[in-house]
Amino acid sequence: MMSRPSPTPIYTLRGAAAPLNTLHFSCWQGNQPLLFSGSGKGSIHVWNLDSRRAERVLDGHSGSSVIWVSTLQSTRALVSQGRDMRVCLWDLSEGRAEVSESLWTGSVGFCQCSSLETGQGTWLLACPGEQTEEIKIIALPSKTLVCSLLPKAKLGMVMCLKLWQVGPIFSDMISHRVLTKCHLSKLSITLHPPSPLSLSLFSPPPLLQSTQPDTGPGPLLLAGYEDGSLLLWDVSQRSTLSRSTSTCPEPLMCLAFDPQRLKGVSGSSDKNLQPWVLDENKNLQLKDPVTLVNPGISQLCIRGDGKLLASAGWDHRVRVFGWKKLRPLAVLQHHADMVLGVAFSDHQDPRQRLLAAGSKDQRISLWSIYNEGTDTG
Amino acid sequence: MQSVSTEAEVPLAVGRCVRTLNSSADTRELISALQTLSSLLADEPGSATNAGSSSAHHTRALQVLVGRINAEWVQKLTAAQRRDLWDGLFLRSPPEEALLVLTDGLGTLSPSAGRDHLVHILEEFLRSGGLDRMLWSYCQGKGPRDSPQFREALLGRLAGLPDLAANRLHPHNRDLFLPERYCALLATALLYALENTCQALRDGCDCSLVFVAQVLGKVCIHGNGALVFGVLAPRLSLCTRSDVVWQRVSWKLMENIPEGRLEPVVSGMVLALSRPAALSRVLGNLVLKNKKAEFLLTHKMLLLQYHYKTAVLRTILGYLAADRERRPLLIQVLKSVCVAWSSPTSVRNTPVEQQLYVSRVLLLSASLLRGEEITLLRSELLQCMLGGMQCHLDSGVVRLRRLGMVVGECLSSCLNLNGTKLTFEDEETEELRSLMTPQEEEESDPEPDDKINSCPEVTLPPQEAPSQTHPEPEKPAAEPDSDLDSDDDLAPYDMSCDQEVSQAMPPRYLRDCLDALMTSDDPGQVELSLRAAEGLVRKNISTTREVSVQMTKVLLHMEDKFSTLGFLSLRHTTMVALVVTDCIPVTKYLTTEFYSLNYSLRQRLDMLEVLAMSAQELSQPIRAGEAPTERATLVANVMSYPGDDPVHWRQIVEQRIQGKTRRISKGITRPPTKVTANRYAPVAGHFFFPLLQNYDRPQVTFDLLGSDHLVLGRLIHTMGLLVHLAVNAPVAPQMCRALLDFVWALRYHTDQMVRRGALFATCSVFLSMPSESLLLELSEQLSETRAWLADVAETDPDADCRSLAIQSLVLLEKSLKKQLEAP
Repeated sequence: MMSRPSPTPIYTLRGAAAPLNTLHFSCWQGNQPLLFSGSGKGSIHVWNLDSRRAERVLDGHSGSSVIWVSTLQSTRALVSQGRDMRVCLWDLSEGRAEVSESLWTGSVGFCQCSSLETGQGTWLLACPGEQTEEIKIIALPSKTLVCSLLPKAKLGMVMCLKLWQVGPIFSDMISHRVLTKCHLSKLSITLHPPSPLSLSLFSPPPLLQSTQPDTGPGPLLLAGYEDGSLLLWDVSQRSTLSRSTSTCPEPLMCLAFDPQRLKGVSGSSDKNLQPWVLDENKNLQLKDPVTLVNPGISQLCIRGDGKLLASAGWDHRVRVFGWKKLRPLAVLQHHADMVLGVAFSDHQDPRQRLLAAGSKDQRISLWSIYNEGTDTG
Repeated sequence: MQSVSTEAEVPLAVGRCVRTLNSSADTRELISALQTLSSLLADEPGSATNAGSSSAHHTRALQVLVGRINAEWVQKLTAAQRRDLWDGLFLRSPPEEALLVLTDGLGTLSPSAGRDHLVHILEEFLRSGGLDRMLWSYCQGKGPRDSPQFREALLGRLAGLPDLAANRLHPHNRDLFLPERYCALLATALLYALENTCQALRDGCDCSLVFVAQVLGKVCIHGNGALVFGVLAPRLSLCTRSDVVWQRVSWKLMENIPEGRLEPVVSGMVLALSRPAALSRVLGNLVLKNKKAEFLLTHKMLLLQYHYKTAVLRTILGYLAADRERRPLLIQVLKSVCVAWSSPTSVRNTPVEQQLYVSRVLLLSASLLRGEEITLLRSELLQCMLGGMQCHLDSGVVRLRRLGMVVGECLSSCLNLNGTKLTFEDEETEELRSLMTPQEEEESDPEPDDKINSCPEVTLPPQEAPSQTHPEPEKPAAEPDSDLDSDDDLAPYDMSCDQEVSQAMPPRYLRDCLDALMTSDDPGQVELSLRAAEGLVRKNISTTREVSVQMTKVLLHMEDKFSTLGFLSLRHTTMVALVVTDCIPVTKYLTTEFYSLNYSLRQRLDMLEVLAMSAQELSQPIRAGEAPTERATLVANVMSYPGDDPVHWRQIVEQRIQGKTRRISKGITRPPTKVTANRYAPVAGHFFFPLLQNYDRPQVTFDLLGSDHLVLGRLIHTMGLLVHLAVNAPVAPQMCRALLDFVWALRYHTDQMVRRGALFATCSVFLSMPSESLLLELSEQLSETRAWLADVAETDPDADCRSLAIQSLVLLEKSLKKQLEAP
């Protein structure tokens, strides 16, 4: 059987005039699908995916490279992190474009923050701290420091973070495999992203109950460090639940985690893509790595339906894998320089879903891949 | 008739009967004579006292019978009479007499009903165990006291029966007389005699094995040894395994083999027995007792006859090593093999196959040495190893050099030196290396006649799918949600473009490329420049013309500093591109540099190779579509020299012959080939003649006619190639003439590579020389060249040289014939 020829991008976005470090889609609600991109020169571009033009350019980090952008589902606010050691919260409603809040992190590293919404308008932010190994958990909008996590062992700089919440279903350690497909699809909608319906399930915010750990599951944090090790933190206990023995000596550059399957993958500067799973005792177990042709992965992203994994490679290529078995599916070759970020869109209609890749060559490519004939899964 | 009671009357009575048979025509009288005769002779064998006289009248009677076999009355006998009286006389008389008379008859009678009858009797004689009786009677010493002439005649008949029958009876030969059947019969007769002998010895009777041994020797010398030993040897090996009497009988048998016939018997036995232990049991210490056997087993089979398989060598050397008394012979063998292996003259003058054979013997015998023997022989082995390696490495033949290295490696490991560790993946060297590991000697070896050795079934583990494409092989569908968890619904895209990327950019301009090659210290840059160079040279013709000589110089002196992948071929193709693009200046440069000072052998060889490759490329017509692929195959073709691969010239010759064969084909007529100018013809002289100028001028670092015969061999081969490619060019006859003159000086060069090159050059001269100018231009050299070629074809030790010489002769004849037949 002849395999299909390698796909080409459906369009590219030019004009950022700087390397594009990070991408974030906002297509879930609202009338216009948007793509946010953070550039190496400190500007955040808001791309309209209908007109395929940059709608607005936000400049809030005084020229320092923007390394992370995200939006909050509940408030539609934009969060950005720059290398000026600040995290900014933007108010974009009604045509405004101003920084509503600003938070000083003190981190000089490249580690991207991670956010977790805990209720209507309240959310947690995990960000690297002043000390090299420190992770700070900050509750917003109150800006109170919940805790500061410092590993006992010397692990080097924090490289990547993922803050997530164990849902009530998983807290019972009922494997999702028992559930039927139909159950799962319903549940996954209620869990991710959290809708107002599910909020009642999650309240009260677990953080305040750190003195009574039995009543509910607290948020968990996955963190990758410079020496290649991966730690699972229990934020409410402020303790390490599990640490994967570092298989590679290279720093962990990025990780992606699928809270439904309790399964994740991490990438580093070498050729290996390292998958791992979280077992029932919350231990991290490494699986057989997948070897790539060229070394270096800057970012990993799992599609919302849990079918695809995309990796941004230093070799100018985006690689697409089937998420379940990590089977290589496609190599997207378009960029002329390192790909720095990848993102899958969160369109409600799965047929419109897009994959975006931002590269050091100052362009963003958009791809429509594996959208045909898929159900809402 | 009346019975004859006294023995003295027997001859008289027999004589009377014989006379009757000879002269009478009366059937009744004849039958009664026959009856008398059979009753007279039937009593005879019992009385051994006057065996001589009885055999005499037996012979006479039987001869008369055979003489009268075509007589009318014989045909009239009834079947029963014939069987009882006539045939019975033969079958009941002493077997040796019967055999002699019958085979005599077979030899003299012309085709007739009588001869058919005789053949029938002979078959009956063999079937009824005539041979068994004869051999056993000789063992018992009951045979006739015969003269040497009689014995020799009998042996001759015994061994030569298949030949005689085939000659006389063709095409009506009987199955029983075919060598296979007859030899099996003879072997069982021999075994029968030996078995009876064993039994007799156990019973305390004396027996003589002289006759049996003579028969065996005679059969072997007639060339049927393998057939006899096929039956005899396994049985002997089996019987001697536990039985001491059998062993003694077997040793005695071997000792009794006549001196002149020992060699075929012993070598046949060695070939038929595959295990040293079996050979030990059958031969005993024959090698110590008999000088001839010693010479055969320690010298002739190991050093002179180089056609035996490795298993045979293992058997012989294992036999020598198996017994304490024989071990000195093993040491002696090792010493003489060492001398042979390390002698420069033998390396130079014996065929490669023999070298390989001697190396095998050397390694096998070295592997059989024990610790204390190794320490004793250490200095000799070391000397052999060092000297031998040197003269092997001096050789121009790749195979010999490799042989030297591998044998040296094995020997050094045997001597426990911390010597060179060399590894080669050659099939031959693998085989050689395996010789050093002693064969496991299981005494419970299944003998060939016990059962067929069933080879154990080897089940290979199933090959795992490459993990690159399928990181996790599909799990069995037993999992409840396997359909959920599979990625199968997602068909992968083509991922063939996913290659390793390199960081640097290839150079875009030829001068940049040249600069990078000259000065860059960055491995990636150098590699990219090398890869880009050929394309740049071919694309930018005008720039190339400006820098061609400089670039050639740079490439020629370039070293593989960063072990770039495919360095040699990249460098070569670039240089070829330079020659092709800017022919005259670059060839001038290369041909002058070839003879100048301070180049390494490698560089000189490179120059020759580049010249040959470019000439080949130039001589190919350019066709728009297929140029690039064709060039690639051409490069591959020219890369191999005949020393490396003798197929190459054969292909060329084959192609030429194919090209000259006219075929009457019916299919669609091909479109006429487009005519293009030959780019090589105008410049062929520039390639060729400068190379001829300076070959006899030795320099400090380069002595072509002296020690640098490797380069000489390649030079002459290259020139042959240049001449061959210049076929149909106007300058070809001149080139041929010059080359033939050059070859003349090197006809009998000591190095086989040079000789091969010279013969190849001669081949190409005869191919390229237009036949009309052959006689005109080369008339005075032709006869001498022919004599030389004929001599080489017969006497050269190298097989390739011989076949090349034959090829040249054929080409010459063909060309001459064409010329002479032309109107």
